[in-house]
Amino acid sequence: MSNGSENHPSAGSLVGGPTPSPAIAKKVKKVVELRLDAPELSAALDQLTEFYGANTLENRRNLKSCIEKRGIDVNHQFINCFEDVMKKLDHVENYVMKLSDCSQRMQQRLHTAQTTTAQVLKLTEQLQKKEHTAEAHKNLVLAFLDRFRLKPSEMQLLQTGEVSDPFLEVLDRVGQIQSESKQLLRVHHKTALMDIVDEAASLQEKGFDRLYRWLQKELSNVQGDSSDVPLLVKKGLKTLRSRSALYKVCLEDLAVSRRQALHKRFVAALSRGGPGGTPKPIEIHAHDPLRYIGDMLAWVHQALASERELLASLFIATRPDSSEPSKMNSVTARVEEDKVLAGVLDGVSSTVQARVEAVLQSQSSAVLIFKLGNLLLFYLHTIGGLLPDGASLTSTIQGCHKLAGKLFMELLTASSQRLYKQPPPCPSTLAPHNDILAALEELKEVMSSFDASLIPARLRENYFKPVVEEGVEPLIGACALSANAITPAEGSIYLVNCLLAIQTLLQRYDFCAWRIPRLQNQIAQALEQGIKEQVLIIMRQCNLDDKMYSVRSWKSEQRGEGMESLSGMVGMDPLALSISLKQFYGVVLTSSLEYRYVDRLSTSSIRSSARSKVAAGITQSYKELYDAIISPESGYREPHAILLHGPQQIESLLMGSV
Amino acid sequence: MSQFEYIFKYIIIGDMGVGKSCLLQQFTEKRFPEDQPHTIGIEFGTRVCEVNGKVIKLQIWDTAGQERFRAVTRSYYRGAAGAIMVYDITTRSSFNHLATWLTDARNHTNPSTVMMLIGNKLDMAKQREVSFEEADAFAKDNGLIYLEASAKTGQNVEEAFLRTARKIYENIQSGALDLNAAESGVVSNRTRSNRIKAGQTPTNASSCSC
Repeated sequence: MSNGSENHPSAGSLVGGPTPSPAIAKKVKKVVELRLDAPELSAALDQLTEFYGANTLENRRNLKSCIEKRGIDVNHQFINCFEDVMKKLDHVENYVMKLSDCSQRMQQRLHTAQTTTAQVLKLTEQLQKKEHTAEAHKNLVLAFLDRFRLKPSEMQLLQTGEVSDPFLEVLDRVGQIQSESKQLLRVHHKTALMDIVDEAASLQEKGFDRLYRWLQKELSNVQGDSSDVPLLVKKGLKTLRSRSALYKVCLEDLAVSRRQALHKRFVAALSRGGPGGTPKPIEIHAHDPLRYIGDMLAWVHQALASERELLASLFIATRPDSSEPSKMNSVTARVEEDKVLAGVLDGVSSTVQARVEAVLQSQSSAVLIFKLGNLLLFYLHTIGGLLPDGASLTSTIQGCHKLAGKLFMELLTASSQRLYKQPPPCPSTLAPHNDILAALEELKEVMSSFDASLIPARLRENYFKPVVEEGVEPLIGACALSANAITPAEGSIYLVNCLLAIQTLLQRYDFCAWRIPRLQNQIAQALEQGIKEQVLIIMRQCNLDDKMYSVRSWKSEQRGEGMESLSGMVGMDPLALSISLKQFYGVVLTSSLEYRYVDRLSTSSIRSSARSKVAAGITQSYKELYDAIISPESGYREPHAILLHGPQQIESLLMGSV
Repeated sequence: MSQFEYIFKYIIIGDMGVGKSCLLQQFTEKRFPEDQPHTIGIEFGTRVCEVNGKVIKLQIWDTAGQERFRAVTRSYYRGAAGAIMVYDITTRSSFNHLATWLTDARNHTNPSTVMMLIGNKLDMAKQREVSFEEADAFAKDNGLIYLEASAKTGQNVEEAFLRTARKIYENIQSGALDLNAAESGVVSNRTRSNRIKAGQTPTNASSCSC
């Protein structure tokens, strides 16, 4: 088989050359290596059969061109075929070109659109942001307005509505708005806040004004005997507190209405009493000044307690909230409360004063006046303690108490001066005269009343001193004057008795104890005098008094030059002496010695001690006489004939009979 | 703050040292003062309490038992709605003096005044000198409400004051106590117009609650 093919045009050289050139070798090798079962080869051979009819030379020679021709044909065909394709492709290309054109345009438009959209988006975003801000602002403004302005309904309420709890709340809120605005004003938003402040101020003004008018009406309606103020009034007052001028006026109004009511009730209690006569009018006891004034002041005291409670409840309710810095406020509230209370009680001051003064001035009994004074003092403490300093009721009671004190002292001085100027005559019993006893009885009542008073123990002595000085001293003086009007013996005993009675009185009360020592001294002096007088009188009764006188003068002269003997003195001769002494011995021995004066001492213990002192005094005198007579210088020849008894004997006899 | 409807005035009387002031303090402050000084003249205490559903303020006047204050304390009987007589169950004499106190009270109070007798110091019942039966008989004879109580432990104290208040309240409702009386010892807290109504028809007063 031939190895010639269009793919190997050089195959002939292989056959031709004896010596294998490298080219031939290559060809051979190629032929050898040609694979016969390759499909390409078979396909090529198949094709060859179509146009290669017979294996002729010509054919063989032409094979190559034939193949080439055929190749060209095929190519021509191919080209022809592809011309359509080309055309179509051109079309396609055209289309594609158009498409791409189109798409490019679209892309461009898209791009443009994109740009536009982006702007729009950006704008939207900005707008959205703005919207948010605006929304926030709106909320803020709404919140601000909500906080800083009243709602129309509230405004309506404030301007025309009834005073009620909501009204007060709104009014409180206006105040709050104002204060908050003012705080804010320091920082920013001046104009808006100024407007708000102005608006709030004018609203508040209107509100306060209406509240004030309403309160005035309500407070004047607060019934005198009602015990409490309606809660709404309390709340209203509390709100009004921030407008102090109006608040003060309201408090004054309250005080006035309570004062008038209190006065009315007081007058009714005084003159009418309860309905049907129970309780009876206070004046029904006008004849009994203590009861009358006591009931009157007790009524006032109880009314005061009730008023105080009422005001306390009112002021607790209106006290500034604890949240406010309130130490100062609560003090001022306390002062306000006290002021109102004092104002209310003013309502009874003049009535009390008029009646008490009338009672006091119509009294003639010092004791009663003193008791009334004590009663007034009690209420000065009791009522004065509940009222602030300087309350008019307190000064009224104080004035009455002073008046009582003054009238008492006047009456006391007058009565004791009367006694002093006209000392009552001393009765024969030498007991204190009834007038003195009556004066002492009065003093006793005064002291016992004073003892029951509220004056603290440490002040009592000083407080009562004037009474002792004005009441007791002239009494002592009067007794002394009476005593001087009679014999010294009687007088001194009378004085002792009077002083003892005074001492008994003063000893009862501690607050008079200071006067006791001096009084005891006075008593001792008078008593000594009395004893001396008694001794003298007894001696005189036995005619020994002149003998004693002679003995004493002889004894004093004996020390000088005279040297006259005792027995030579007038009346001292042994006979006269023994007569007198016998009389004396008779009296002593029969125990018939009369202690006529000292026996009229009113106190038994003093009486018996006085008797012994008299006995001692007589013994003493006798001893003096005895010693003088028995002494050798006396000139008696037989003194023992005259002197029958020794001093010891006499003493024991006398002491035995005391 | 409670709004009360009535104020009742009380007076506490009895011998010195029977524990009047302690009873008052136990009632108003729920405490017992160990070292209570003698009352000087007159003292005053209040407490708001509820009686038959009404808020009532009790205004209590505590008198000095000492004789020297008798003239002063006597003036406080006037217009008391309740008189509380106190004796000490461990002191015979304080019981024996009750007749005097009762006369004093009857002479100076309104006929409608509610009288209560308290035998105080029940905590010292071991040293008792007055039996319950005897005092009870005395109370019955004289138409007094009677209780034994202890100001120290608080036993029966509340009851004594409230029982008196209930009786006063019943008197108001039955019309025995005239609310219009300025000095009946009861002050109503309503407005005047209401009060006149209440006075006329006492039954209305009870139904119209504020």
